[in-house]
Amino acid sequence: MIAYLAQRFLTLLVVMLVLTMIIFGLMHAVPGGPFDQTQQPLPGPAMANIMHKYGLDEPIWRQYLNWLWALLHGDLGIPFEQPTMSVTGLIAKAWPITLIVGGITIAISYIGGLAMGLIAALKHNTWLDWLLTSAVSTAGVALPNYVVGFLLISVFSVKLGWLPAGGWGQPQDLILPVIAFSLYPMALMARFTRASTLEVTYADYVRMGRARGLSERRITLRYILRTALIPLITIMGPNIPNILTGSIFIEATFALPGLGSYFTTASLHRDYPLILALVLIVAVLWGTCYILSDIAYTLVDPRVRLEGLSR
Amino acid sequence: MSENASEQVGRLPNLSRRGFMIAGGGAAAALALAGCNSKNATSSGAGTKNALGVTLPSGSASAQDQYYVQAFDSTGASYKALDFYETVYSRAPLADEFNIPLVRLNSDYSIVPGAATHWEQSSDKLSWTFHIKPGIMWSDGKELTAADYIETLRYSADPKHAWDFSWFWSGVIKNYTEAVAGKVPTSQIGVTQGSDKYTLVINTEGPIAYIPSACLYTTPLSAAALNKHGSGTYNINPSTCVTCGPYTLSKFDPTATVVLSPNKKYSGPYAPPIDGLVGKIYAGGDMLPRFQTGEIDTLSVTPLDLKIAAKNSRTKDLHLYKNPNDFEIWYCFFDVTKSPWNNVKVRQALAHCIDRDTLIKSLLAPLATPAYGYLTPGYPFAVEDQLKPYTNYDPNKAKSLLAEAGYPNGKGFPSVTLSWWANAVSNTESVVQALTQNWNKILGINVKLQELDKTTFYDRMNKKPTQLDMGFVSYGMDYFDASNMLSVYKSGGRHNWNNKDYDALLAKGAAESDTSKRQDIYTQAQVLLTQQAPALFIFHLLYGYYYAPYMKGNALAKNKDGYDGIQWPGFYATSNSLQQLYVASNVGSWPRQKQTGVV
Repeated sequence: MIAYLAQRFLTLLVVMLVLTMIIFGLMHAVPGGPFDQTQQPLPGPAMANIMHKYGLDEPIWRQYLNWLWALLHGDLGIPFEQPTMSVTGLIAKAWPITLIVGGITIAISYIGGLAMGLIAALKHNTWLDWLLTSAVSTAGVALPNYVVGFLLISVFSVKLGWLPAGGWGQPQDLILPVIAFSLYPMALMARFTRASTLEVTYADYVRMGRARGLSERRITLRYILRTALIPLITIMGPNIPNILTGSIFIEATFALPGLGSYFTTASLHRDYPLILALVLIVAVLWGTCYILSDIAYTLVDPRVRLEGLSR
Repeated sequence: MSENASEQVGRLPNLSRRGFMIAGGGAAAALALAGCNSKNATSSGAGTKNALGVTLPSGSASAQDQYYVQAFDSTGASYKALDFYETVYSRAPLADEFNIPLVRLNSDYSIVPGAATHWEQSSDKLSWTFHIKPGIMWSDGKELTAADYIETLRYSADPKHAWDFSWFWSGVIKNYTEAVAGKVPTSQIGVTQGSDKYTLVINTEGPIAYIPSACLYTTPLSAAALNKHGSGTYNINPSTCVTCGPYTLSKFDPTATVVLSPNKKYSGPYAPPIDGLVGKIYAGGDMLPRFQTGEIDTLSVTPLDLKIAAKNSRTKDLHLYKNPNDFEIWYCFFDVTKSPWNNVKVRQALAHCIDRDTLIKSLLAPLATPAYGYLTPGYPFAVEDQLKPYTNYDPNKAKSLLAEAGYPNGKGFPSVTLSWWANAVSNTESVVQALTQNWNKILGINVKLQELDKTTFYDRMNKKPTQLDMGFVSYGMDYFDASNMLSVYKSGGRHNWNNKDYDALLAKGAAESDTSKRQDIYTQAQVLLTQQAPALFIFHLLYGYYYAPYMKGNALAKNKDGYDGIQWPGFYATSNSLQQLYVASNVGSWPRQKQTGVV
C-alpha cells in the first residue's frame, strides 16, 4: 500500500510539472499581456519598466525556471491584479469561503443524494420513486445552478425578503448558495445510487441473504449499499475537486468572495502567477481525489488490492 | 367553497405527533427566515448636523442614515489602489475621495473651483497659474499646498512608477514626455511653485487652452506621505491613509467591500451631507435583486434589468435616470492602409448603409442614441446636424458609392472580417450582427464576424501596425474637452488614419482661447472626420440608473442638456455632486439594509 501510494504521488508530481510547463507556454502564447491597456497603450519606457519589475522581459524558459525556483521555496509570486498581496495570501483569503460552501454542499448533496437514491430504489416504481427520480433528480440535473440561484433569489430574497440576495459574513448567507450548488450533485448522486442499488437488489447473494433470514435493514446497509457504492466512488469522487474549487456562477450569483471568480479574472487579466497557482490547486486536488478513490475501493470491496492495480 | 371544505373550517384537523413536529418546525423556520430581514425605521434629521458638521437639508433622514451604498462589478477589473496617480485603470471602488482637485465639474459640465479659487493663463499663453485656497489641511496635520500637486505630478512622470495614464500629460506639461522616457529628471517637468506655497504654475509645451478642463485630474497625493511611503498605496491601508477630502478609509477589501467614513478633520470648502460611503464589490451576478432587497442604494441598469424591473411592484414606478456618463461612443474602425478600406468611397458607402435609428430603437433603446457624429450631443463643441449628410441612412447612395469604388453590387469585394468583443451593457453581439446583415444584404458584400476576448482584441488593435482590419470598439472621454475625444483620430493616435489637415485643426483648436473660434475649428474637424469616414459612428451609450426613492438632492436633477442622475465624473471629489445628495426621511419606505460602522 505504501509503495503504491508513493508511486502514485510521485507520478502526480511529474504530471504537475508537465502541466505547469504546458500552461506556462500556453498563457504566454495567448495574445495580450497583463499590463496592456485598452484606451491608450502605455508609453514604451513605462511598459519596459513594468515588464522588468515583474521579470517579464526575460526569455520564457528563464521565467519558468524562476517561477519553479520560487515555488520550491514556497513563493507563488505576486498576483498582477492585486500586487499589494501575495498569491498565497490571496488564496488563503478566498479559498476558505469556497471550502466552507463546498464542504457543506458535499455533505448535504452526497448524504441527501444517497438517501434519495436508496429510497427510490427500494420503493421503485412507486409514486415516491417517481417524485425523487423523475421530478427532483431530473430537475437537479437539467437546471443550471445559476438558474436555480436566480429563482431562489427571486423568491426568498426579492419576493419574501427572508434571506439575503448575496454576501458573506452571516450564517444565513450560506443557505441559498448551498441549496443552489447542492442540487446538481445531489441529483446526480441520487440517480446513480438508484441505478446501482437496483442492479444489486436482485443479485444472488442478496437473495441468499434474504433466504438466510437476514433482516431487510442488514441486507440493505451491508450487502446492497456497500456494493452499490463502488460505481458511486468512480462517479462522485472526481466531483469533489470541482466543488471545492468553487463555482464561478454560484459565487457570482450570490456575491461570495471565494476562489471561483479568480479562475476567470486571472485568465482575463493574464495574471500568470495566479493562473499557475490555480492550476496547481486543481491538479493537486484531482490527483489526490483519484488516489483517495482508489483507497476507497479497497475499503468497500475487499476484492480490490492496490498492489495488484499498481503492477 | 365545497361542503367538505366548510366542515373543515369549523374544527382543527387531526394532527399526528409527527405532523405537529413538521408543521411546528416549518413555522419556526419561516419565522427565523423572516427574522433575517430587518426593517429600518428612521426619524427626520433636517436641521441637525452630520459628522462633517453639515446641517442636513429639509426632508433629510437622520445623520445615522446619511451613507450611500454603491455596487461595483469586479468582473474583468483589478483593484490595486484608491488614487488616480497610483493607477487609473486599476482603481478600486470609491477611489479619489482623499483629496481635493484644483478644479471640479458641475452637473452642467462646467469647470468650477475645487482647491483652487481661481486661475489664469499667462500673457504668452505658455503657462497657467492656479491659486490654492489656504487653510485646507491633510489628516496628518499638514497643509495642502502647491508642493502636494507638484510631488504628485512628478511621481506620475517617474518611469519607475510606470503610471498607466502617463500619456495624459505627455505633450501637455513641459518636459513631461522626456521625464516619462527617463531622459530628464522628474524635477524638470513644467510644474512649479509660483510666488508662494499656494500658487501652482503649470508650464505647457505650447499654448494650450484646455488646461483647466484637464486639471480635473489634479487629485493630489500628500507629498509628505508619498515621500514617506514611496508610492500612493499608503491610501489602501486605514492606518496609513492620509486625506484632505471629506472621507477617510475604514475598510479596504478589494474582493468584497470598501468603506469610507467621515474625515472629522475635514477643513475643505465642500462638505457633503452624506457622511459615509460603502462600495460593495461583486464578482458578477445580477445586480437588480441586490437593489430590490436594499443591499445597495443605486443601480446602473442594463436593458434587460429595465424589462424585469417593469414587472416588479417595487421597481416598476421608479424613475429611470439617464445620462451619457463618460460620453462613450461605439464605432467601427478600419485599417485604412489596406484594401478595400484604403478607398474612402468604400468607407462612405458603409457609413450610409447603417440604419441607426432602427438599430437603436430595436436593440438599445432607451439606453443609447444614434451617432451621426463622433461626439455625443452635450459634449463640448459637439455638432450633429452638419454631419448627417455624411452618415444618414441612404441605401441607394451607399450602393452608388460602392459602385464608384469599383464594386458594383458588391462584385469583386473581398471577404472582410469585423472583430468585436462581448459587452453586455452595449449589446455588442446583437449590434454587430445587425450591422453586418444590413451591409451584406444591401451592398452584396461579405463581412464576417469574429468574436475575440477583450484582452486579445485590444492587443491586436493596438499593435503597430494594427492586426485588425476592421473592429467594433468604444471610447469614453478622459477629460471634458473636444481636444480629448477628437485626438483619438489624430496621426499616430489610436488608429492609423493620418490626415494633416485634421491634425492642424486639432492643434489650432487646442491653442485657441476664444470659445466661438474653437467651436468653428472643432466643427471643421468633426466634418472632416465624418466625411473621410475612417470610422463609422454607430451609437452614443446612455447609462441608466435607478436610485432608491430616499436618495434625493440636486445631484439627481436634470442638467442643461436634459440628462439626469449623477453626471460624470460621478460621486467623487472631482464633481460637485458630493454636496448635492442626501438620504431623505422616507428611507423607511424601502427595505434598505442597515450598514454599521460607516457613520
